[in-house]
Amino acid sequence: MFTELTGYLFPNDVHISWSLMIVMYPYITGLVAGAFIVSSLYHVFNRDELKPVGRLALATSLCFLPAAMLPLLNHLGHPENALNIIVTPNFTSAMAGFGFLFSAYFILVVLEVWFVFRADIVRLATESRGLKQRFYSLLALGVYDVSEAALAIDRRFIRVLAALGIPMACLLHGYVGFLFGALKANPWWSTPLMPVIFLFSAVVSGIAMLIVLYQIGCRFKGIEVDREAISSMARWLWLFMIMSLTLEILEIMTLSYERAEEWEVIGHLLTHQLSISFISVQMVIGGLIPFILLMLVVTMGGVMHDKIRNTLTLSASLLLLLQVLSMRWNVVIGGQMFSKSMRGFRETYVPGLYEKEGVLAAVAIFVFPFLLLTFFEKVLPTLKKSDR
Amino acid sequence: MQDKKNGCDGCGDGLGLTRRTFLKHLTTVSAVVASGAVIGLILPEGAAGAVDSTYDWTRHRWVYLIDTRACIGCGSCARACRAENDVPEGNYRTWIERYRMNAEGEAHVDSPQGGEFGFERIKAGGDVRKAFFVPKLCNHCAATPCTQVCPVGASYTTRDGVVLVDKEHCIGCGYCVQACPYGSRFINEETHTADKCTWCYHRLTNGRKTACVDICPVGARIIGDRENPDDPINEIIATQRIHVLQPELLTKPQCYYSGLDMEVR
Amino acid sequence: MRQDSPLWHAKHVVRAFLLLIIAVIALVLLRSLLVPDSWGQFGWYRGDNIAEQRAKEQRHGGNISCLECHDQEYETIAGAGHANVKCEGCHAPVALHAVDGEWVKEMPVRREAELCLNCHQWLDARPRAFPQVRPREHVEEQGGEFGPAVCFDCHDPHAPL
Repeated sequence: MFTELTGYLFPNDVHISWSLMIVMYPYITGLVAGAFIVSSLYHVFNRDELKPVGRLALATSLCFLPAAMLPLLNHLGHPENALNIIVTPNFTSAMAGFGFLFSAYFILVVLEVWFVFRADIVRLATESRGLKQRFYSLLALGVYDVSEAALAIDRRFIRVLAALGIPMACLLHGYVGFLFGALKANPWWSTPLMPVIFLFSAVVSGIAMLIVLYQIGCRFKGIEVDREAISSMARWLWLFMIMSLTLEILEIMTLSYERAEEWEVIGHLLTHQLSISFISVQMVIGGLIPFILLMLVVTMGGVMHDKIRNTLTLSASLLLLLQVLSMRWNVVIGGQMFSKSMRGFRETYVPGLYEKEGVLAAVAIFVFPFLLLTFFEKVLPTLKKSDR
Repeated sequence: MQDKKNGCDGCGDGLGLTRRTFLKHLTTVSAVVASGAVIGLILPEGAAGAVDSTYDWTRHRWVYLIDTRACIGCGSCARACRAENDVPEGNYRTWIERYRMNAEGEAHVDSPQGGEFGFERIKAGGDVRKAFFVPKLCNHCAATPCTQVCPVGASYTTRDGVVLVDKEHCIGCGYCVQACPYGSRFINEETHTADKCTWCYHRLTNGRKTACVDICPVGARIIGDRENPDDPINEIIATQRIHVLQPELLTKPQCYYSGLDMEVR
Repeated sequence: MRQDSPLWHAKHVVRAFLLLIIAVIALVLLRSLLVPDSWGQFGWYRGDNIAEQRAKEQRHGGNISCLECHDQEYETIAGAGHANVKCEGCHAPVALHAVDGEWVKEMPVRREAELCLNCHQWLDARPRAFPQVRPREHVEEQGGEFGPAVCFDCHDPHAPL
């Protein structure tokens, strides 16, 4: 691959060792954490207006979770050794926490999904016949008790798990930010703000993804999009995107204002290598425009036609999904566009279409959770007319 | 190697000499020692030296010293390293940088192919007032950020102070590559694992020096043992003005430099 | 258990957590099977790796490894201006040429000016005291004509001066 280099790079620094896959990993994990937080808003904080998306949020979290592993596995030089991360975890490494955090979170989400959908599972088990019946019966673990007392127990567990899930989701994603933020070798990554920025942008991407999924889901199922749910999600999205963007800008402002040694490199990076992906995409197209769109929805939503509100929210969400993706790109790839010699840059990085860690692989990995979700919807419907 | 213990008997009388003569002295002494080691052997120690079972790693702690004023930028060390360690092309366990500064102090730095095939004359950089070569390699930091971040314990520091990678256990995640501030690590394109300078651990622990130290024609690179009070490297570290790369990161590099310019990081 | 006890309706919870506990135990057992035998022998790494690292082939043997067959050259170089230049520096690691005293392959001999200029080409970054030449001017000063192997007209790499 032809790469244009300027200045002096350490000879080992001319390779981008963290590829597009490592962009995808925090992106997908962020969607998991963000979607979960929406479901917890309903289950823990009693935001009843979010009831129509509560189950979808959980299902989304569950389906994106296994997909978060795929880019990592595809990236590893020796995926067959991947289990070493839980077999011989080196606890001085931030990355060693991955296996444990990920498994704990996985268990938590599976449990919560099970409790939430148990009544449905039991109903489906009793309604169906043959193989189908066996499948649902297995899912129900053979217990068909849906008495009020049993459901009360379920609700209690749901609440506890949802509450536990909030710090867990924060940990899971804050940890991803920590992976970058705690590397002193890289001035573009090394900031304590990194986990916080990752966390807020995760919530942004999660809410945005839910808005998109909810609207598409409703269209497919012929359900009317719930006004309250959309308005509420738009407000939350607006709040979180403001916080997220503020943090992202603050980080740059501080670096720039301090005029510390690293600004020479980072200033150049932002105005040259990352000028399109940072300034145009992350800040303007993905930041400013959805900010305005959502502000319209939030301030004038009451007098707005449903269709307009839905379209505005949907467009803002799509743009924010792009914003968060570009933010991940700018962090991961941006941090490798300069050499640790602080004297040299690579001018561009364009992942190949067909290479092992290239664009097609990334697209395939990203499509996977949607397939899972479609399957989930077939097995256990999340969107119902009766929800309001 | 049967006579490994005589590392530097009799080097002690070098103390107090000026550095240059001292280094010269050191070279002669080690040559004598080296030839002494071979007396009594039927064949000179071949390439594949046997593993020395008497080596006790708790009784050594290796450190490295580079004299940037002596380096001539011939690239012998980088070539020897590649040949000794099967380093794939495009990756470098050691390399040589050339710094050329004009009167304003602006630095022009280059390292064509890691300096492996030496350097050509270049005009770039304008009116050069100060110029020098700086050999680089893994610093084998005492507080190293690379082994800290290895998620599976595939990279570690030996008791004698060498940072190694277990390529059987490495998962190839590349976190250590990102964590090294010196660009000393890379993902080996053949093994798909992290790779780096080992200070020729297979030589060092079997009575030899690293390939780069052995091959250097001007003594710009030396390796020595902190645990051996007679090792001349201790006298240099104790009495000379020395520096390490990027000390502000507090990685405690065990590669010391003498004659280092502030432009080098 | 009485049917009106709250636990009576928690049967599904008990099953779910039992399943979970079994899974965790299975994982812990699996882990203990996968830990390498020598793990933790010296620290949080595979102890056997030390021996593996140490057993790697040594390719450079130093000038001493050439003595057996090339005593003439060994003596020459030791007594002249290139005493500190290693045979393997200009030729190749001994392992490519001979292993355990057995001949393997021809040793490269590079009789070309570039071999010398690698060290002796005048460069602004080289220490001033180090002998270096501007090759064309140097050859012309001596009344010669620059060519790819011109250095060897006057200099023997084993005893250059």
